[in-house]
Amino acid sequence: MGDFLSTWLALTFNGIAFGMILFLISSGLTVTLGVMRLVNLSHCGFAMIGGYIAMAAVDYLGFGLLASIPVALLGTMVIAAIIERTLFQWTYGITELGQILMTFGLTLVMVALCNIIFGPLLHALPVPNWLTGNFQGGGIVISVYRCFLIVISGLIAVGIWYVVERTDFGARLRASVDNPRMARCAGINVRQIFSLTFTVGCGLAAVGGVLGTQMLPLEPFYALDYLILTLIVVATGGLGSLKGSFCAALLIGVIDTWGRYILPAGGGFVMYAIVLVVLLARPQGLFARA
Amino acid sequence: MADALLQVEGVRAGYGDAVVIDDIGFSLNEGESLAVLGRNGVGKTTLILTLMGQTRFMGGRMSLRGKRFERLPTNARVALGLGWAPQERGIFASLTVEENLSVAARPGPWNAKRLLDMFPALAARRGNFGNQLSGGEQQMLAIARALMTNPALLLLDEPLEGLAPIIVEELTATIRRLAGEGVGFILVEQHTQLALGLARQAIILERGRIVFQGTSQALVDDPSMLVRFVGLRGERDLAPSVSA
Repeated sequence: MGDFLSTWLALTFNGIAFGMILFLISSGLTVTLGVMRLVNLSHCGFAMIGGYIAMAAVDYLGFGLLASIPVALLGTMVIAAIIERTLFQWTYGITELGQILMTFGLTLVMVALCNIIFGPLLHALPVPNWLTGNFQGGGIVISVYRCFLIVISGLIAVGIWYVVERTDFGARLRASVDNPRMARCAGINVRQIFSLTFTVGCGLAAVGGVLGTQMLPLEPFYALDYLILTLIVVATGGLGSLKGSFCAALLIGVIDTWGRYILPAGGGFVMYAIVLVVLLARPQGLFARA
Repeated sequence: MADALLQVEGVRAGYGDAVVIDDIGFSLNEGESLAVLGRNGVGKTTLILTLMGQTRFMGGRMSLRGKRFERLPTNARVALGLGWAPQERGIFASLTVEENLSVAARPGPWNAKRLLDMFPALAARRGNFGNQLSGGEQQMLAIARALMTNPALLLLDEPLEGLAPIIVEELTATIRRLAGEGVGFILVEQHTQLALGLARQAIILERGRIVFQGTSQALVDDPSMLVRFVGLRGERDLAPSVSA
């Protein structure tokens, strides 16, 4: 029984770590999809870009993993800002099919470019020595790096909560989410708020892409491989709800980890089946906005 | 009129291909007030929305303190000096009362403290979310939020609609107080008697065009235009004294 419990605890812990990475990658998408009504299928591409920028910083500039995070964050945000101002501005207000085609096309371009520049092989960023190894106690073995992931991701989630709930920018963002038309009529530059949120959301995805390479290794098709997962997190959590994305990401991370242990041959079947049940019961998601 | 606060000339606007208001022209000086009257569907709210940039603008000129704004985005018009309390109130449900005020804050004499002092009912609910307020409280908050933008001109779209008489009385007193403090406003209101009592000037719209433009007192003295275009039954629908 002790082995059973320790196994399930370790699985739950790993699932939480995985869920945290999913949240970081998905948090920006819940705003763009749920609030800006922009069907952005290229969102995972920014997580991939962040991962590759970090890899370049590690391989060519000698940066460590942690030092590469701000490089990846800023680099991805600059790229996201440029793409938003040049390409995405043409997608606001067009049909959803048009947005899907445009953003999917952008994803394919990202995939092709990363394949050309970095090659088709899988890459995982090296973890610093002080983050390798395991904590062991009470029969439970927990990866030091996964502990670190949970702590860092948790701090970022708290930071996101603070900015959204306790700052003037967050209040203006929430107002723009609630009622974009009234927000404009109250003097809020909604376009600017959404552009900044989009850029930061892509930056967060990049951080998730960097931190999560041990679980989601980098390869050119990353942008497509994990797109479904992030869309599931957003849909299950409720469009436009950061709290919903957080809870859904943790739930999906844990369920997917348990599911692959229970039914290894089934892949993500267990997770998909449970998500299907959740969405049948609550099509609007767990924490849909009113 | 070089000193006009608001100048509207030949404005034509609507939604899609539909023209709702046409050849609208009037002006307001600093601190003046204007009641916009007419039956349902004549374009009163469309006029307000056009000033705020929320309709399809088809022609004409609009300027505030000499600056043309018909091509400016909505948030830029607020920065220019237009403040709007909409008919549907538009309170941000996931923001508290204080946050509803703070997101609209612009430099000027109106601030959260002054407005919460003006509306004690809001002060008592400052930590409540917008969707936890009563209709009257939401209307107070809508007006307060518009004032937080420190507007040169306040646009009030049916602020008394659907409210209990005691709240109507309270808000009427507030609007009268604002007028006394020199806050210029345009008031769209179905309560014709109240509207004429609050605003010095008045226009009547009929099928999107102005059919009367003059003082409120002129309409009180001769209610025939009100009977014909607003649907009043006559002098019995107007109190003997309605001047502010």
